[in-house]
Amino acid sequence: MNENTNFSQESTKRARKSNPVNKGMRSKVTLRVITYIFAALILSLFLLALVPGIRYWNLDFFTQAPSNGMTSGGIFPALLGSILLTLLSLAIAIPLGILLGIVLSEYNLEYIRFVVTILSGIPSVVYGLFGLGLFCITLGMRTSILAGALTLALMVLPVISSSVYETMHAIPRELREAAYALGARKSEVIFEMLVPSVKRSILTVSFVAAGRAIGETAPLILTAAVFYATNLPTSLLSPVMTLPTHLYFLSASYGESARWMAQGTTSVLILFVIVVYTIAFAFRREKK
Amino acid sequence: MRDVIIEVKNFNAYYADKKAVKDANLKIEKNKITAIMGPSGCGKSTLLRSINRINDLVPEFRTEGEILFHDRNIYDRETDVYSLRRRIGMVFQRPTPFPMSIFDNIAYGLKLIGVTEKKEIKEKVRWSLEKAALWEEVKDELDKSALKLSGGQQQRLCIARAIAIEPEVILFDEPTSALDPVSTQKIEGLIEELAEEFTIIIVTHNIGQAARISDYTLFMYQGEIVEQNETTKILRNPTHEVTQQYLSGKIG
Amino acid sequence: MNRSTKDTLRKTLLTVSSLIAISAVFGIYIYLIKESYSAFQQVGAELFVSDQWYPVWDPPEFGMRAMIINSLMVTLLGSLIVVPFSYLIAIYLHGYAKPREKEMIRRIFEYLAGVPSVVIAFVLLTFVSPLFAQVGIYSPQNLLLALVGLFFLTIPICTTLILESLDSVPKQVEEASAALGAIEFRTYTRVTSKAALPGIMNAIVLTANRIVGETIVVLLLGGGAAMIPQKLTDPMKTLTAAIASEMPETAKGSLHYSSLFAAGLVLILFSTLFEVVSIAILRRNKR
Ligand SMILES: Nc1ncnc2c1ncn2[C@@H]1O[C@H](COP(=O)(O)OP(=O)(O)OP(=O)(O)O)[C@@H](O)[C@H]1O
Ligand SMILES: [Mg+2]
Repeated sequence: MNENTNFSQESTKRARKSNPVNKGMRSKVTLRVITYIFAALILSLFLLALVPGIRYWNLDFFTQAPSNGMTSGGIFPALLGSILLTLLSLAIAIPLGILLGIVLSEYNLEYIRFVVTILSGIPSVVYGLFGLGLFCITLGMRTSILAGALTLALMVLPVISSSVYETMHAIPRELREAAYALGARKSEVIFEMLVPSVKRSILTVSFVAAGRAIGETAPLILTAAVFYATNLPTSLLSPVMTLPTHLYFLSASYGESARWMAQGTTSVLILFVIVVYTIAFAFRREKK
Repeated sequence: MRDVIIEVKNFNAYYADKKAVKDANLKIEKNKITAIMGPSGCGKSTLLRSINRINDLVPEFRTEGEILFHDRNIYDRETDVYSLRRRIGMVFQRPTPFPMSIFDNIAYGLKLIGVTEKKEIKEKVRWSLEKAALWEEVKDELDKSALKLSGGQQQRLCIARAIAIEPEVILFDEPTSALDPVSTQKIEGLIEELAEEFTIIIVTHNIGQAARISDYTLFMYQGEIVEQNETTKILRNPTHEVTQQYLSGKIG
Repeated sequence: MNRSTKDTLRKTLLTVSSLIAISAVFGIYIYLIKESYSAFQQVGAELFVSDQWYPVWDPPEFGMRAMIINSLMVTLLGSLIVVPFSYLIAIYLHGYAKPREKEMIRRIFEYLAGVPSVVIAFVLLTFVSPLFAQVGIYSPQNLLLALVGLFFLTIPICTTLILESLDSVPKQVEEASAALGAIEFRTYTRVTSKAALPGIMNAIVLTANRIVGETIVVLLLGGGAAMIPQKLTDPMKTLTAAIASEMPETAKGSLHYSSLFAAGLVLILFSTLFEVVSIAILRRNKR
């Protein structure tokens, strides 16, 4: 009896000292506060990027070239350049990325996986150096849309192929066997069964890749973009202006007088990102 | 036996060094249903999957001995495995609808055998769905994704897909073990009907199922075929000790 | 087209895509070595042991030691800041957040992952940088500001990767710990994290790789002095920043051009090293 009482008293005392329920609540609340603070910081970054620039949007902003040393005019050449570069690089990278993703998933080649992993880690500015050396100088493309698009394509190639690899790899083995059991060859199983069934994720990653390509700055400074182009591009070998490089040049070498144009450009870029990613996520959700 | 379509002779199968089928000898009669039974892991699937060489896809799988299909060894070097698989169809344990429409699931196999004419494809799709007793349920929604069908419907679709290319033999690997009793009953009835046109080999764990539908049964234990006979005879008086134990539920 | 022609064509396409990937890696390495060759030859070891980077002086100096150290220092400091916060956020999302809440916060991070670094840099430059002058710091662009930029740049990838590895730990492991009476926080930080350790380490390595290769943020926010900063508010320049800011004004084929390729070679060696470590971590984990 006596012993019993002692025991229970002691255990309540110990429990009070570090009540596990309280302790659990405390850590939960602390973590939640941290998470919400950062989520709020990120949201304010979005707002600061999007909102202040919107008021400079008008027809001229989207249809005129910059003038008077960036104090007036608009961003039309940069907008056009970004769209051209993005579309061209994706046109190269998507088919190639799908093929490479297939190789990663359906052929058990360790060294190809290794190569793609290495590619995915190479800094974008190094891709820029390579593009500068190979495309612009050795192959004589100079600073041009084509050189930039090829460089970007190479950069997003590992992004696309890894994602194709992951979805294709997740398709159950039984499904492949069922196709083989009908007498299909390997290439038929791949192109007529597996590829159609990862269509949706190919769409998703294409948009993700578009988001990547449209915001890349460093490789384009080295291979495709000029600070100011007097004419619109006339061929694939013309240099271009692009949104991110325009923003970079404005921030790096212009002061107050061009601030408005930089803000307007930032808003356009962030809007692009939001739209492109929202589409990508929508495709992904439908799949579920 | 009168009309032997498949004959397995001194057949061994290995996964790397592990022997999964040991010295198998058996004959399969045309237009009959042969059931393969035995405890889990005894090599039923391995034997079945050797007959259409689908196990070639398993790394480190190799075989010894012969499997004769119309008196020709399918493990001969000249064998075209793709056309072999077209002549020996297969339905798996879990339904394997391809992630496309109901129609395209069947058209997929037809295109592989070179049927390109739209009208012919449509006819075959209908013919096979009717044979698989699925037509009435899906005829108005052939464009619907096959993944949206119920499990039993998916399995019947897989059967339709297999018969659309008109094989001679159909292999079933526990086709109903993932299904509910009603679907199971439907598929059993279906298999019995199919036996009029096709030769059927079915792996099953379900003694009742073997009794209901099969003409012959062979019993495997630890990689060996320990007994084979007409189903009624095996079930009524099994001669081998392990068969007796299995049938009475002592092993399995 | 007949079946076997189609088959051959498809196989050819697959082979071509693999060849492109392989030749890209080799091509990049070969180009960097080839173009930096004259710098190695003419500047020699000084490239890596000298802190004097005055490429446009007469005579020019090409010592990039300080920039190499800066790149590594930024990587180290940046990871030290971002990893702990990412970890705590990932723990919250993994263990405490309701499904909808988790989904939403994750979505915010995913959007942030898509924001171009030049946008992050511009926003900080416009709204945060002016604050330094108000508190009497002479350089409005400096190491600290660059670290803030890198934080925003890498927190999505780091958090997502850690979260994925926490989420992939089997539930039974956590239940076993809970059944012993552990509070959730203890379960997540001791048991789950331990099971997810390879994934977390991989996240750290990939985050570090992202930082070492980042260009625009350190270029616009770092202030651009090719010296080793003595305090957080000093300006500094990394290898990536030097390449992007100096290359456009460099004569192709000059010694400066070649030295910048040598900087690129150092960078790709770092990134290859990081990726190899990542592969090794994941492979060991698989076994
Ligand atoms: N892919 C494989 N690699 C290695 N060993 C395998 C493989 N597949 C099966 N085995 C082994 O071969 C033996 C026979 O397997 P099999 O799948 O043929 O058995 P089963 O009779 O179909 O069993 P169940 O009734 O459980 O389906 C088993 O011991 C199994 O572990
Ligand atoms: Mg089996």
